[in-house]
Amino acid sequence: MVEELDPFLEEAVRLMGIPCEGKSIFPILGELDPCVVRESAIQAGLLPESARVPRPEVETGSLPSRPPVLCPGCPHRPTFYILNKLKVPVNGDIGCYTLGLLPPLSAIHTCGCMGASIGVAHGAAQAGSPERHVAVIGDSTFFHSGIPPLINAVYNKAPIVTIILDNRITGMTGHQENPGTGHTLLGKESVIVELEPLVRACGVKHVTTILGTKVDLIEKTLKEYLKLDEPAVLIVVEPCVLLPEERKKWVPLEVLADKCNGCTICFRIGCPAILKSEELDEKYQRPKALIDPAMCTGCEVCAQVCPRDAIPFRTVEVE
Amino acid sequence: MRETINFLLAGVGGQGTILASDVLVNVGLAAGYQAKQAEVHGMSQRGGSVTSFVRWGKTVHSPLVGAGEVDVLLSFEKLEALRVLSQLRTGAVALINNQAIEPLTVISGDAAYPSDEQIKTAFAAVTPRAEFVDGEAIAKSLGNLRVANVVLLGALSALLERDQVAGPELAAEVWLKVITERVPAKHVELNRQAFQAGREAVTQKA
Ligand code: SF4
Ligand code: SF4
Repeated sequence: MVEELDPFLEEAVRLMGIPCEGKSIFPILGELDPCVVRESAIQAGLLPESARVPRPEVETGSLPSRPPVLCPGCPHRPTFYILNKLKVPVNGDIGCYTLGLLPPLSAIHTCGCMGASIGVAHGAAQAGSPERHVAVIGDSTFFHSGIPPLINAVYNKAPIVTIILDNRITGMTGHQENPGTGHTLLGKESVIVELEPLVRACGVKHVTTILGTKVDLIEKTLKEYLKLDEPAVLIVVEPCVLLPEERKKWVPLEVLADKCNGCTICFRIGCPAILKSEELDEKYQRPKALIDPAMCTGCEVCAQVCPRDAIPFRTVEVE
Repeated sequence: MRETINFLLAGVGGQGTILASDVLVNVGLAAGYQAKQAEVHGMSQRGGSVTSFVRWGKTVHSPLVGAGEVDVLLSFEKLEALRVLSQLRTGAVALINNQAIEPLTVISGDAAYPSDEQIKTAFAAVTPRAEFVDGEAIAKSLGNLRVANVVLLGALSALLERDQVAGPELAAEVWLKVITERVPAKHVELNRQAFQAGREAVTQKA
């Protein structure tokens, strides 16, 4: 029996009284690709040694990894940029925003199952962590399994900050509706369960909703909340930039090469639309920034972080 | 007709790797093979490494290809080509798009992008049949960057003929039919030109 993970079928077949071997030959962990299956079969003597496929000797050294990244214009980027800047411990959850754990944002430190962000942050507070923990959870994950742990944290007066990243849709799995969007999975109109009243009803006294594009405001509010001795919730709302309505608003920004001095700050927000130009800054001999117009959505996050105003804000508003 | 032909497609999310696999699997079917496809990494939208397998054969039981069993590599990006090199069979046919997309780890200065020299030497050690084609430059000369993948498919069709991976069942017309079925009527001519330009890019080198 060749099956991945637990011996589910193997045991069922045995229970029927039919002799069956499986996990004694094939591994219980990992994906059973052709190489693993073949190698296990050779080890067990089911295939001759000659069945082994030679792999070419390849010397490539260690190659730069290419993990998936938050999309250009992703509304979650400012929050992770600030979390990274504030160097607080962050307990993450399951969704597109889990990608906030990767460099250069590197702003998620634990990730378990759905709903684990709030529970783990609460646990850290209970265990006496000297630092304020931040739980980060998406809107649909919050509806799915964030409410009971939030009530638990409130009930136990855990001084944690929960950030609900509300991108008005279920992003990672491909834009499914959820209780916050006003439509059922089948697209029928439905009620909108509003996050802020829901969070207040859970007993949270400090709740604010702010727009996901406002980098400074997110930083200011978060700093205030981190000083509190009670649970606080920050709802950061901004629709996923890949939603059809949002795509219509894309306007690429440009870097003014004569103003940019290649300070690298905009490289650190981890936007794939920001590239290194071939043009070097005269004084520092480091590459200037360049925006790929085919990828940029014009979210203006880079424009907000650039200390030299080298990336002008949009001049046209598309509504 | 060969027993099986194992393809590996590699690229960066957003480059159209999965779309190209779809064309390839349908070319196989149109040429009278059984054909199966499996996308290995699902982060196609988000800029990560993407690979996909396509298998053609008289009978194809599984879409997966083991390491060391890839007969034909089509890579849309150079670093991704190098990353999958160890999965190739010695002497495999490889078509590599001469494009470098720097990953964030390179842009942020934490890692270095391999040099052309390094890539070519590594490939030469595995196969004498690696070809580098500049899909973007050719597409640009035709006035539309978006047809770069069709340029590469054209080059691939010519490579398979040149290296006798496939026989007469794989006439250029079979490829073109599958490709043009997938594009809006007004772009059919452009795609034909792109396919043809890709073929010429390979045959001129021979
Ligand atoms: S932050 Fe501004 S000055 Fe610094 S590299 Fe980016 S565009 Fe240039
Ligand atoms: S505006 Fe800046 S941060 Fe936003 S998508 Fe464009 S380059 Fe990226």
